[in-house]
Amino acid sequence: MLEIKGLHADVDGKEILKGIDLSIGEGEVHAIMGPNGSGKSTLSYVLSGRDGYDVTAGSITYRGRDLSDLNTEERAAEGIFLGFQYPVELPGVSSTTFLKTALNAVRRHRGEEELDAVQFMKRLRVHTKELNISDDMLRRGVNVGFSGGEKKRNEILQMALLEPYFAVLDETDSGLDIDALKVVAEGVNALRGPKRSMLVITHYQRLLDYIVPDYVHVLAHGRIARSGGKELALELEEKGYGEFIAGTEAA
Amino acid sequence: MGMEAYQAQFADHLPASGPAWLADLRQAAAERFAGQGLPDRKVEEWRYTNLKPVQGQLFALDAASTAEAPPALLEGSHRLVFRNGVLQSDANDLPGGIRLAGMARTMSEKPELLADHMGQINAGQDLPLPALNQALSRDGYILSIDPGVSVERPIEVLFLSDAGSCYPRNLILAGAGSRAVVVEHYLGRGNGDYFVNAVTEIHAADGANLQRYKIQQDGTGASHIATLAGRLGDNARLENFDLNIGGQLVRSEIHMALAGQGAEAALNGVYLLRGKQHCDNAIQMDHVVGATNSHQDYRGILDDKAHAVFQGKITVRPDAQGIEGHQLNKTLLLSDEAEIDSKPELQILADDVKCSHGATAGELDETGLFYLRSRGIPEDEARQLLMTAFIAETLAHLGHDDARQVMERLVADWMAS
Repeated sequence: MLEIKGLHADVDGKEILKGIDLSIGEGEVHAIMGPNGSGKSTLSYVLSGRDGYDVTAGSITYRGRDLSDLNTEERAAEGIFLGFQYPVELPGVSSTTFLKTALNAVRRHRGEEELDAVQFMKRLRVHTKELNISDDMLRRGVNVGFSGGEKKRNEILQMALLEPYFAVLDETDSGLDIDALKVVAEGVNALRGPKRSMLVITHYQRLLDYIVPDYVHVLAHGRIARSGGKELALELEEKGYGEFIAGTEAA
Repeated sequence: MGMEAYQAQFADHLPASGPAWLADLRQAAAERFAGQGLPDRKVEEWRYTNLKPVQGQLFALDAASTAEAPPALLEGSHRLVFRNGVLQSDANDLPGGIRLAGMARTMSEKPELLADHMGQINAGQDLPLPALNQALSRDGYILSIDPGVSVERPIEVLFLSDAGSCYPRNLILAGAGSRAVVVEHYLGRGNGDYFVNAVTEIHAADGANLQRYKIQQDGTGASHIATLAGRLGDNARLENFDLNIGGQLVRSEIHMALAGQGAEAALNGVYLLRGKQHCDNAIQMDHVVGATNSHQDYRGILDDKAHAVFQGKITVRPDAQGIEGHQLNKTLLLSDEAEIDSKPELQILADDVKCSHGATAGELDETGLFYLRSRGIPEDEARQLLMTAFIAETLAHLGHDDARQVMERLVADWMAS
C-alpha cells in the first residue's frame, strides 16, 4: 500500500525527517509513537503534500505510484486521508456543504457520478447516526463551536464518507476524555478492513488499547528508532521515551 | 477642466422648468457647489479617494442610449427603469397607499411631496457632490408610502447607464408604521467613462421599517458617486445593504441620523474589486438621541491592484444615553498589490453607551485551504468556498430572502469570473 524509502524532508529550510523507511501492507494498521518534536506531524503533512513540507531525498510510493507527482487534493482523491490533530474551523462554510463538496470532488476524480442533495443526505445519515453527529453540528460552520470530541468525530465522519485506502490519523486522541476516545476509536475500528491501511500517530499508548495496531514504530529525531509488534507500545508506556531522547537536542 | 465648465452646464440647465421653489433650490445648490468645487485629497473625508477621473472632463447631460433593460432582479417587483438618468418606464400594478413615480410626474401630480421634503436633510444638500446633484438633477424615483401601509412586493429601480452623466435624485418617504423593500440597481453597459452622481434621501417616520438594498454594477470605466442621507424617527428601522462590484471609481457615502428613540439602522455592505477598481465606503452614523442602535458590517475581497477604503464614523451626541453602536470591517487581500485603508472613528459624547469597532485585513487562511484540499477539493474550488464563506457572514444580515439570493448569485458570479 505504502512504501517510504530514505525519506528526508524540510520545513522552512530545517531538516525534520532524516531518513525514514517504512512499509505498510494492505489492511495493516501501523502506529507511530514518539516524543514531542520527533517529526510525527511532519510525516503526516508530508504524506498529504502540504505546501512548505519539502521532500529533499527519498521516495514515497503509494499503490505503486510515486506520490511526489500528486498535489494535496489529488492525493486525497486517490484515497489518502489525513485525520487532523487540530481540525480546522471554517466559519461560514456549513458542514453539509463542505462534506458534499468534498465527496463529489473525490467522486468526480474517480470517474463516478456526483451525488445530488437527496442521494448525499441519504448516505450522510448512515454515518452521522453511527457517529452520533447531530443535525445541529451539520448546520453549523465546519468545526465551529464543536467540542474536542465533536471535532474528532467529525474527522471520522469525513473518513467514512470519503472511503480512503490509506488513512493517517494524527494524534486523534489529543484533547479527548476516555468516553469520547471510545466513540472515536469505535468509529475508526468500524472502518478497518482488508483493503484499507492506517497509520495511527500518537504520543500515548492509551489510544492503542482501543485501536489495536499490527505494528508499532518509534519515531525519534526524524528516524524510525525501533519497530515491533503491539507489545512495544506497552513497553514504551512503562519506560517512557527516555532512551530515545537521551543525549540529543530537544526539537 | 475647472468650475467654468460646470458653470456653463448650470447656465444651460438653469432655470429649469417647474415651480419657483425648485429653481431656487437648484440655484442655491449650484452656488454651493461653485463655492466649494469638487473635493480634493486635502479634505480629510477624501484623503484616500482621488476624483481625478471626474475632474478631468465634463460629462454630457442627456446622452443618448440604446441599452436594453434586462429582466427584473426580483420576481414580481414593481419596477421603474431609468436610462442615462431619464425615466423610461413606469412601475405598474401599484397597490393603494403608495406612490412610486419619476420626479417629473410627481412634480405635476403631487408637487408638495417634493416641496416639503426634497433637500431637507443637510448631508444630502450641503456637501459638494450632493449639491452638484441637486443643481443638475432632473429625474429620480420618488416613493411615498402612506402610514401603516405594508408594500408586499419589492420595489426595484434600475438605473441603466452607458454614457454621459446622470444625477438621480431619489426620495423615500416612509409613513409611520409603513414597511417596504426597495432595491436600487445601478447597471452599466460597455466600458465607457460615464459619471453617475446619485442621491437618495430617506425620511422614515415613527415605526417605519425599510429594507433598502443597493446593487452597483456600473461599467468598468464608470465613476459612481452615491450619497444616502437618512433620518429615522422613533422606533423606525432601516436595513441597508450596499453591494459594490462595478465601476472604476466608486464612492458610497452614507449619512444616517438616528433621530427618534428606539430607531435602529443596520448598514452592511460588500465590495468585490479587481483590476484597478477603487471603492470608498464612507459612513457617518449619528446617534442624535438615546436608546438608538446601529450596526455596520462591511466586507470585501480585493484582487490585482484594487483599492478599497472604509471610513466609518459613529457619533454619539451628549444626551444620547443607552445607545449601542457597532462597526466591523474585514477585507481579504488576494494580491500583494491590493490595498485597503480602513479608518474607524468614534466620537462619543454620552457616557451610557456600548460601542465597538474592529477592522481586519489579510490573506486567505492557508490552514483552511489545506484542510479543504486534504479532503479532495481542488484549490480553485477551495478558495471559492472560503471566499464565499467570508462574504456569507455579511450577506446573512440581509433580511429579505429573495434579495439575499440575488446578492449571493452576483457574488458567486464575481468569484467565478
